[in-house]
This record gives sequence, C-alpha cells and structure tokens, in this order.
Amino acid sequence: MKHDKLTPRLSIVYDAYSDLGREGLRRRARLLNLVSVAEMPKPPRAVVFLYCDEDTDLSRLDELGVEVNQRSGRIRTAIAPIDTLDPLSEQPGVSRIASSHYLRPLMDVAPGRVGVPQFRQVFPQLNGEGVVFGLVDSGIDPNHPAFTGRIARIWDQTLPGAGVPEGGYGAELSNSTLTTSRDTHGHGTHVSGIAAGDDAVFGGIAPRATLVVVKTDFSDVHIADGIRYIFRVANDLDLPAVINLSLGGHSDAHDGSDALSQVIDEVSGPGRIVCCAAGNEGNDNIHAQVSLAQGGTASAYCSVPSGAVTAGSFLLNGWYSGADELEVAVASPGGLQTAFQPLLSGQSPVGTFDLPNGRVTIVTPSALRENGDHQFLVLVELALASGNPPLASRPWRLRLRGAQVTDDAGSRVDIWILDETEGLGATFSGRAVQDSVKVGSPGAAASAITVAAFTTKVQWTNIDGQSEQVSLELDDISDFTSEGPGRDGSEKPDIAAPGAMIASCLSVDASIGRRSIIDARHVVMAGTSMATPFISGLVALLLQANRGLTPDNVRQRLRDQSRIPRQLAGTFDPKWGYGLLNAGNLQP
Amino acid sequence: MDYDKIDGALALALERADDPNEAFSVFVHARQPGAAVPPELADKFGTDTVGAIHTATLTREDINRLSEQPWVDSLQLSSQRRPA
Repeated sequence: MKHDKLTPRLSIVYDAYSDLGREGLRRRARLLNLVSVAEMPKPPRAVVFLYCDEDTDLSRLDELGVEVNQRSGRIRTAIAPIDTLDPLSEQPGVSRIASSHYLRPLMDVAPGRVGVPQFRQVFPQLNGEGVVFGLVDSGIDPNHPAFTGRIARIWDQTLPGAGVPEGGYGAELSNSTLTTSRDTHGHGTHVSGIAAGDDAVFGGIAPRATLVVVKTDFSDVHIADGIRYIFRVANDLDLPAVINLSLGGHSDAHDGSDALSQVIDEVSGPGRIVCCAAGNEGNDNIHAQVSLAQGGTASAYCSVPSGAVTAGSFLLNGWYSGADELEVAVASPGGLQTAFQPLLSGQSPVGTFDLPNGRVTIVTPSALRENGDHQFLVLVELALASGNPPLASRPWRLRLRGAQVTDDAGSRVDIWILDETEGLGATFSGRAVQDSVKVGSPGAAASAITVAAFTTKVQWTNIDGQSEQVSLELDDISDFTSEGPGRDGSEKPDIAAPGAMIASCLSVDASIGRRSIIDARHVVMAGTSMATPFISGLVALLLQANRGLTPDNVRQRLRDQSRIPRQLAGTFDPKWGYGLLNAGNLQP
Repeated sequence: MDYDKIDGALALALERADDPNEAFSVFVHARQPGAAVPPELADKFGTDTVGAIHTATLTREDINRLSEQPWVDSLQLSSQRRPA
C-alpha cells in the first residue's frame, strides 16, 4: 500500500475497513461516500477521483472490480471496492486517489459517466441557486424531501380552479396548498429528481434550483400555456429559467413547424431555455417513407397485432411537399379499397368510406400555412362499419398516387402511425418502414435542446432485495431512443445523456411495480425522459453562472463537449446527435 | 367556414362532432399580431390584443367565425403528447 497516494479521508476508510471490516464503515458510510456498506453480496465501495496522466490506460482495473467512468483524462471518477485501494495505490499510472468531496454522495453511476463530478470540482459554487427549473409533466410529489422548501408554484391544470393568466383553467398552488396536487403517475417526480433533487442518495444536478411545476393533461395547447406560465413566473421572480419537457408525440410534421414548437421558439431567448426529449420510438416501426413519380403509385402497409383487440382505431399522419398533389386511398385486409381522394380545397377536406373490415376517414386539406407543405390524415376504425371482425393477420394498405409531382426525383412522403386506441399496437410493415425522422414535437423545435438517451446502468437491486436487469447494451446509445433528423433535415437530437437505468425520486402517490422500486423514496426508470433532465439540470448550472445565455449559446456549449465514441468530434448521427456529453470540460 | 385555414385534424374533429356546443382546444395563428380580438372572444383568448399564437377553447361557431376573420391565419386542433 502506498499511503501517500491516498487522501486522509480515504486512509481513514481503509484503516477502518482493515481493522473492523464492514462494521467499521457502517457509521461513516454517508460522510465518506461509501456504497454497498449494508449490502452483503457486494463489497463496500468508495466513490473516488483517480489522478493520472491524460492517456493512461486504466482498463485493467476492471479485473480488480474498479469501475472507471472515463477512458481518458487527468482526473477520472471511479467506484472502487475498499479492499482494492491497496492494489490501486500500487498502479504506476495512478498518482493520487481522492474520495469525493461532497456530503451528497453520488451513488449512481450516471453523473460520473458524463463528467458531472469533474464539473462540480471546477465549479463547486454552481448548484442551481437563483435559477428556475420548470417542469411540464405529470406533476411532482410535493412532500418528497428532495424538493422541500424549493417548489415556488404548481399550476395543476387538472384541478378545478380559476386558472392563471396564461389559461383560465386549473388551480395555481403555493406554500401550504402545494400538497393539493399529487403526482399519481410518478414520471414528473422522477424527472424533477434527476434535474433538481436535493437527495442524500441520488442527488440531482442542480439541487438548489427553484422549482415551478405544471401538472398537465399532456394536451399540446395546455403544454404551451404551461411553458408561457413558467417563463412568466420566472420573470416575476427575476430569475433565469430552464424548462424540461420530457414528453413527445407524432401528430406533427416533425420539422418544428407545429404550434407547440413555434411557441417554444417564440418564448425562448436569453435566460429562457427549453430542453426536450427525443422520444422512445427507436425500436418501433412508426415511420414510413415512400417516393412517388408523376402518375405513379406507392404503398405503405399497416399491421395490427392479431388478437390484440377486437376493435379500435389508428391514425396515419402523412406529409409531403406543398408543390405536389397526391391522391390518397386505403385498401382493407379483405382487399376492398376506397376511392382515391384528391386534395379538397375550399371545402370540407373529409371523406368517409365504409369497408368490410372497418371505416376509413381520409382528410386531404390544402397546404398548411405554417410550413407550406401538404398534410393528409387517414383514420382507420376497425370493424365499425359492418360488424365484421378485423382481419388482424393481414395488413391494411395505404395507397398514394402522384397527381402532380414537380420534382424529377419524385415526391417524398413521410407518414407516422399513431394508435388512437391505447395499446392497439398498430405499426408499419414492409419496405416503406424507415428508422429515421422519429423526433416529433416538441423535440423538433428549432430552439429546443433535444436529448437522446445513453445507457449507463442495466442492473439494480429492487426493494425486495432481488437483482433486476434489462436487456440494453451498457455504455451505448439506448436502442429505444428515437432517431432524427428532422423531416426538414434539421440536426435532431442535439446530444445524448444518461437515460437508462436512472435512479431518482419516487412519488408516494404513484402506482409503480416493485421491480423498479429501490426503496421507499427512489425508483429506476428509463427513457429519453430521464436523459433530458440531466441536461436541464446542467443548463440550470450554466444559467446560474451566466443568466444571459441564449438557446444557441447553450446548444453550442453542449455540442462542443459531446462526442460519439470512436468518431471524430463534431460528427452528427441521427441516433446520437453530436454524441454523449462530457460535462467535465463544460464552460459556463 | 374557411376550410383552407383549418388543419386536417380540426376538420376531422368538426366533421365527427355530434354536439354543436362541443368545445375544441385549438391554437389560433394570427396573421396580424397587435390587432384587436373581437370583444365576444376576448374572454376565451384571455386577452383583447392579438399575439402571434393563441390558445383557446372554442365551439364550432367560434371556429367558423374566426376562420372568416382576415387577421386569423390558421387554426390547429390540439393534440396529445405523452411522457417520453
């Protein structure tokens, strides 16, 4: 053992463990950032900084059971079993081993994986104080101790009340009335914990931020009202604000032209930043793309899982150039087809057709003013027309015909499929399926910072002491993360951050399976929803240092410190964006 | 009703609505921000001055009248998002 490489605090840890074993650590665990002290199957571990040369290869420390979070850099973070401190100190490439300096232990691996400890070491004064963390989500558990005394307002849009200036509905709560609002879903509480939880076990990124929360019904109109509300309250408080939108959908054009995205662009600006989730449809065949020549036809097949439901409906949301004109038809699984419906301008654009296996409604309006493009909608209501059961074993077929195609390369058509009946599971099948352009609104908003998910953890121990695991690739982009780019070619998502599996705050009112619950206050979840508040929290820290930062300033700082593994810095990928953020070198 | 100002989802919803008093949550895009909101709609807009994008809950008749207003550029039906 080379004691001179250990900081005094770590020497205490090592000596206590050498003398008394696990018992010697138990009373010091929290102070010393020790992990697994009470978990018998695992050795007690310490969160440490490793000082070494920039390019020292520490990969062999795996054999000792030391988890090093970075492959390069002069100061790296690791979780080390206490009994490996001896051989670790003997490593020639390691010059110093220091325990974490925080009283708030970083028990989870995610912050270390993206350089948050290094950022904190350089900027220890940045904790989110004086910045509003705004949340539009399923609400927040106002009694969770991680948020005590820091929730300035909740606008619960689902409660009866007089509303707020931004919308005459719902109830605005503060102080003693905050507890009227409950997060029965648990999503918003978890997201808030990642960004702004002040928690002794799973601390958030900006634990002193002021929270302004909108519990929404997830209508985009109400989400837009919520965004305006948070920025107005922040302005009243004379504080900069970052708003977290861990939500998404596919009813828009996927180019940032929808109204919610436009509102985000309108209200964002210096000290007013919005962060959005990329979406979780990376594994889902929800997008189809076809190309049509003048007079030509193209098809996309839509499948409903057999036995899933006996009735239900799905919606097709299609978009193509406003310079072209297409005709739309649908063939049922039984083979019968609607007439081709042309553009219907200056009149109701809605046509309804009854087929043996369902009712089909086709909507072909004139070009949308917001982006100049044509949208068409197709609503398929299974078996409603004649009572015949749906033929789930054979697909429905969307047929398109090029009535006017102006580009010699053909008319590109993008179509998204949406379940109108929850759980129906309708997807595209066949050659038209495209694993791209799946970042919908509000992630498609030009001014939003849009976040993909990276997997930093695949195993955890649940509240019953059972080991749980998910089949995600560790240390890789999460396969569920939705791919960009935008339909207009815009570079979305922007960056990636830890999104699986993330431990954070548990709402006491949420019904969540015990498999995901770690203890009475914490739960693991996965999704780009979880990656987004990592970035929102960091943006809160940046705004604390510089309240005048614009969305473009923030985006560039984050992109500059992100990278796709084994690719050149500055490389964009539709799944990764500009890659995984390394906050260690982030400059406010 | 000026259907050329209404998006496909709103046209579909209007077509399928049985109750003439059914209300629709919509975005209203204005062509001329700064214009005066018609007095009878000021309450529903929460303001008497037109901004770039308004949110409102409107009946079919409201939508019909608004779509004929020269300062209204387009109307879009609200759509649902979900946690990601």
